[in-house]
Parts: sequence; structure tokens; C-alpha cells
Amino acid sequence: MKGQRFETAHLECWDKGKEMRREHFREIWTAKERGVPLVIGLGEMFQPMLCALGEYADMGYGTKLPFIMRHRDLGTKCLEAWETRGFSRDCCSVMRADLGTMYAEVMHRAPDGKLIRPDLCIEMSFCPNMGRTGRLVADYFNIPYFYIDVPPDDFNMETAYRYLMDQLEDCLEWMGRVTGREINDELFIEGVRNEWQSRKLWGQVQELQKATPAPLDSRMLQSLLVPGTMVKQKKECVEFYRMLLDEVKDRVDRGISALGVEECRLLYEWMVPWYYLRIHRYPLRYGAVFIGGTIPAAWAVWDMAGDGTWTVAQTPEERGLPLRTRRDALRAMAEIYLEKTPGVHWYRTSRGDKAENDVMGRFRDWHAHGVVFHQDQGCRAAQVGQNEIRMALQKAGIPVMAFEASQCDFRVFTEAEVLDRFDAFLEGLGLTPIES
Amino acid sequence: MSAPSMSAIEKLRQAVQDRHRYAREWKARTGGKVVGYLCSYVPEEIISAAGMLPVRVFGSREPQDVTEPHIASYYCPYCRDCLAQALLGRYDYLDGLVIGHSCFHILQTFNSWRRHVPLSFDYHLFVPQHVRSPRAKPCLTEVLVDFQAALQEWSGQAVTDGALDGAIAACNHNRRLLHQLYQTRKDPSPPITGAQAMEVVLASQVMDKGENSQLREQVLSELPGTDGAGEMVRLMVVGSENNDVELLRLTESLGARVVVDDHCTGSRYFWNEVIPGPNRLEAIAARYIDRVPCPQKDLVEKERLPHILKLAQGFGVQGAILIQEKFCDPHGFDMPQIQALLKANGIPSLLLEVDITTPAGQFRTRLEAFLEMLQTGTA
Repeated sequence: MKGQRFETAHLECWDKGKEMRREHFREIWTAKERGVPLVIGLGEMFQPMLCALGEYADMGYGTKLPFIMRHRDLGTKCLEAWETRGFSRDCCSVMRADLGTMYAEVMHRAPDGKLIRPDLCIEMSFCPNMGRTGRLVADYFNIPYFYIDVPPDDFNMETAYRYLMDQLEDCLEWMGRVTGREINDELFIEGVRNEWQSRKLWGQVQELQKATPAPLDSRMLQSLLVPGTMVKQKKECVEFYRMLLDEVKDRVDRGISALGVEECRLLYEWMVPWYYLRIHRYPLRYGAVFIGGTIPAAWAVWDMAGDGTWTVAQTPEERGLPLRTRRDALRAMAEIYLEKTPGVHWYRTSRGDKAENDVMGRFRDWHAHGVVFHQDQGCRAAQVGQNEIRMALQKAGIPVMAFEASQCDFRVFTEAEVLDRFDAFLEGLGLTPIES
Repeated sequence: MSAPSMSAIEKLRQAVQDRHRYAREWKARTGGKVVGYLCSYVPEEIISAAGMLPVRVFGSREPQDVTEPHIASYYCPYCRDCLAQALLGRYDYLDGLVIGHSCFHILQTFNSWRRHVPLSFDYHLFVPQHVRSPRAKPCLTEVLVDFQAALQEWSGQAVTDGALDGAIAACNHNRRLLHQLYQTRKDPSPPITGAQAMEVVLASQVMDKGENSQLREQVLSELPGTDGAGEMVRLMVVGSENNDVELLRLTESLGARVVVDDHCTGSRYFWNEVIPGPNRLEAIAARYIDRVPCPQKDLVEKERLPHILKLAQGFGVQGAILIQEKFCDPHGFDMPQIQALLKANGIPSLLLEVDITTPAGQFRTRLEAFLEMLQTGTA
């Protein structure tokens, strides 16, 4: 579609998403005055467990990561706060930045300048570095710590389910003990139901990205994903994604595009360098658009076919599996993380060939023309299997490029070199710079 | 007194150096299968009970240029080195490969290995990461039931309770012998060097347990009361999958004696035994869950730290060398905490970051300075 131009339009629900984000942070900073438990950790997963506490506030990894990515002096101070404690600069950059904000007393400083202390820490082993980070966080704040070991999905699944569900149940009981609150199973079940709905709706939005022109681009998806990472266990998130889905359907019907041009459709694999978000739009100067990638896909729920076809999963209740008891809900939540989020499993299992099938399936069904990989020095998880996947895609004739950076350590980012690579890749796809 | 003649130790050393030849000869002699394993959480007992030879995969610590397409250069040197051995055909005698679920780095070694050097049997054995969770032992027991079944199906032979009992006994006996050897290192003038001790432990991971134990018994009987070198600076080494015997030789050539270690290729490999029980697999699972945890699995309780301190104090250590494989996250998170703990207990430490090859000149200078500071009490 060389030279073709499409209509663009502002997303009506955009401001709603921003407001949800503001409200989330308001909850964190007012948790103490409201007398509700303030939880740190969880890596933006398993949040329905927190619903069982009734009221709570969830700090997630921390509160200031995006902030320090935008303010490099402060970011440097935080990264160095980690290093001056003797820790290696080679460790995971997200955890370094996150712990650095803690050691530099940035993470837990409220907008009014007061330092707040979380009440409990829960972490999990999607990436073991998260578990180690949780330990350091709990030590620093001197708060109780619970660790959830999430097994991979390439062994006996009944063993995997039992192991994970038993731990989650232990965690619920532990939360009740350390907070002195009663565990409310109904609220937990409702949280699980909401997470499933949020993820399913988000998946349906991803499916609409198959349209040409794509109604959204990766930069928009990243912002729209924020409620799905932070509050997907809440009814408001379900409502927001329902609103988003309706609006995106309408954009597809009306041929509204993300960026006005779409001469080339690209997939972006893994995290962006958070300090350089403009990378999302760099290909636009060649008329190319990032239409999706691993990360947006990872936050939905999918049924994967052997040929790499991605189909949005039905909720347990739609499949005739009622959520009546705590165990029902634990199984439904475990299912998300053991079976329905393929992206996060690639790096935890030995099934490398499956991962490349999954990427090839996305490339095929989302009508992409090329794939860009971020070789993330700062994240070992993102790198597992990546070289092999890249080679497999190349062997299949799929244009691939990789650039090396670190998602949270801007000190290793070489802008000119990375952009040169993009230029070469995009020119190699037969694209030329377009007039703005 | 001159250094004692230790023919059994020499044999063990040779078995490590010529480990590929040893395995090939074992295979030719017995007709059995050889199973390579990555990570010391793989239960050797079950592989042995299946009539196979479990062989721990080590790197060669030689420069290589074959892994770059498969593993990022910012993955740890050990995992790249191990994969290089496979890609270079050095493990071409292996019939199978097993990995204990561990860090991303070594998982990538396994993934790339099975893809590019396919074997008739490969197995990703899930080992719980939170080993102190009450859910860990039942989970690992179930995993081992499946592992045993997979080995049986592959080999076409049953793994009987009797065979498991025999393998458990052989492994436990081997571990006890290693303990006895380590105990001799508490002596003010230990009868064995740190480099020799490392080779003895490494040999256990590449040899048939019975043959290895025979040689080990001979080693113990041949050991003199002292090495005759007199009292030297007593050191401990701490780190991950260290098989760098040359680094220990270098250290000891400078007037020190490495008297104990905390490595998964060293003391952590053998420190606890299987306590036999009616359910063999449950007993084996308990051994691996209860062992001194690897930093990858010591995520909550931090048990490894007091264990290291206990070893240091028990073996009269004056200083510690912390060996950090570059890019190793689990150890990277631990090292500053270990340093702080040792320092608080009057034990100075030197952190050496290692790659596939050892920068001998640079390390010599640093080690000399460290030893000098220990000797003058200025560390």
C-alpha cells in the first residue's frame, strides 16, 4: 500500500485509561491513612489473591520505574545506589533499577515527600531474579515475605497444577495471618473472574490488530495495557477493556488506522528500552508500523495450536467450569499462568521449537512483514531462546533484525548504532523514508 | 618432607582430565548408556539405578567461538562453555541429557544442545525453586516418579527398588568418603591441596560410583598426616559451577591452602545423604530438597549464608575467594551479602569475576595482594 494514507482518530477511552492509572497510584499513596494493607511485589500477576483481603493497595514492583526512566540523573542515582552496595552491574536491569529506587529512597516516597513502608511482600518465580528481589525488598523494609514458585509447563501438568495451587492457597492463608484480615473467598473468586475477563477482552483487541490498517500501534498498546497489568483483577478494568474493544471494533469497521500510514507491518519482540519509548515510532519515518508483539500478547489468554495459531481463550465459565469454590478459582488462576500465556512460558521451558512456531504464527496471521527483536542485555528471561527463534525465522525466510540494548539501563544504549540498524533493516525491506 | 606419592589421587585426576575417554571406555566395557546432566539437582541415584552412567557436563575452560549464534554473549561463561563442548562434539558418546530446572542460562544450554546435537533421550526435570516450601518435596517426588518412568521407557528396563537401594547406598558411601576427605582438611597442615580436593570431587561426578569409591578409599588410606608444607594461609572458595582447578593451583602456588569450598561442583554436591525410606523416590526427593540450597533456590530463607559461615569457621578459614561467573544473576545477588557476612565475622574476602578462561597474570597480582594483606593482618 505504497503511498496510501488512512484516516486516524483519537481514542475516546484514552483518558479513562490515564485516570485509572492515576487512581491506582492514589490508592498506593493513601493506603496508610486509609488503614489498608500495602502490598509490594507480585510482578503484576496473581493480583486476585489480594482481592481476598477486601481493601488493599498494590505497589507492584515499585512505583517509580517509569519516572526514573524519564529522569536520567535520578535514574543514574538509583542504578548506582544498587552498585554502591556491591551488587553486580550485570544483574537484571529491571531489578537493579527497581531496587535502586528503593535504596535511593525514591520508590516509596509519596508525592508529599513522606516515605511509606509496605506491609508485606509477595513475589514469584516467573523469573528467579524477581524472587531474589523480593527477598531484598522484604529485608530492607523488614516486612514478611511469601514466595510463589511457578512451575514451567513442560512436565506432568497435574503435578504442576497441584504444586502451584497448593502454594497459592498457602499464600492466601499467610496473607490472612500477617494482615490480621479475614480471607474473603467470594472477593477472590470475583477477582479471578475479572482477571479472566480482562485478559480475554485484551486478547480480542489484539485479534483486531490483524486488520489492515491496524487500528492501534505498539505505542498505543503499551499504554492501553497499563490497566491490564496493574488492575486486571478489578471490575473497572473489565469495563475499560470492554469499552476499548467496542471502540477498536468501530475503528476497524471505519478503516481508522493507528498512524495514518501502513506500508509495512512489523512485530516487536520483548520489552522496549523504557527510557527510549520513541523506538515504537521510529519505523514510521519509513511508513512502517509496529502492530504488536510478545508483550501485548502475553497479557491476554490464548489457546495455542500446534501450527502457531493463536485463538483467544474462553473463560472457564464459558467452558462450563464454574467458579464456586476457592479451589475452583485457584485452578482457574493457575490455568492462566500455566497454560494460557504462551509468551511467558517460552523462557521457562525446554520447548524452544514451540516458541518459534508461536512467533511464526503471529507473523503469518497478523500479516506482518518483519520482526524486530530487542536483545535485552538487562533481562536474561527475554533472551532465552531468542537467538534460536531468530535463526528459525530467518531460515523460514522471515525478515528479522535484532538490536542490543537494556530495558532499564540507559547507560548501555547506543542510540546512533541502534537507529542505524533500524535504517538498514527498513531499507532492506524495500522501504524508503516517507514525507511527514 | 616431600609431597606424598598419591597414585589414587593421580588416577582420579586423570579421570577428570580424560573424562571423555573414561566414559567411552565405561560404555564399551559395560554396554550401558551414558547420560549427561546439567545441574547438581539431577538425582544421579535414579540414573545409576537404571544401569546408566551419570556424567556431569563441564566446560573445558578453553576459548571457543561456536556458541555465539545460540547463546547471548551476556549469558554466563559456564553455560556457553558447556554448550561449546557439545557443539564441538566432545560429548558425542552421550546417549541422553538431563537438566535439573535451574537458571535461564543453563536452560538455554540444554535447549540449544538438544536442538543442534540431538540425543535419543533428553529430559527437563523440574526441581522446585522454593525448596523450603512444604509443597516442594511432594512435588519433586511426583516429578521423580515420571523421570523414573521415562528412563524405564527409554531403556526398556525396569528400575527396581533393589536397584534404587543399591544406587542410593553407592551414592551415600561416595558422599561419606568425600566428607572424610574434607575432614582431613581441617588439619593445621592439610594432607591434600585444594586443587587435589577439587579434582577428587569432580571425579565423583564423571565416574562410576563404585570405581570412584574404591579409589577414594585408597586415597584416604594413602594420605599422610600432613602435606609437609607447614602452615599456610587458609582459604575458602565460594561460587557456582567451578571446575577451574588451575585457579586453585595458582592460588596455592602463592603460599595459601584452600581448605574448603561452597560450590555445586564441590561440597554442595555431596554434603547431605539420602536417608533411606520405604518410598525410595520420596527419600531421594527429600535429599535434593533438603540439601544446602543453590542460590537459585535459596530465594526466601537465605540458608546458604549461615552455612558458608559455618564452613569457614569450622575449617579455620582466614580469608575467602568469591568466584563470580560473569553475568550469573543468582550468585550476583548473593555475593555482596556473603562478603558482608564474612567481613562481619572477621573473614576478609576477595571477589574474582571469571570468564571462560582465567586471566592468570591479573589474578596472580590480586591474589598476591590479598594474601599479603591476610598475612600482615591488614585485610
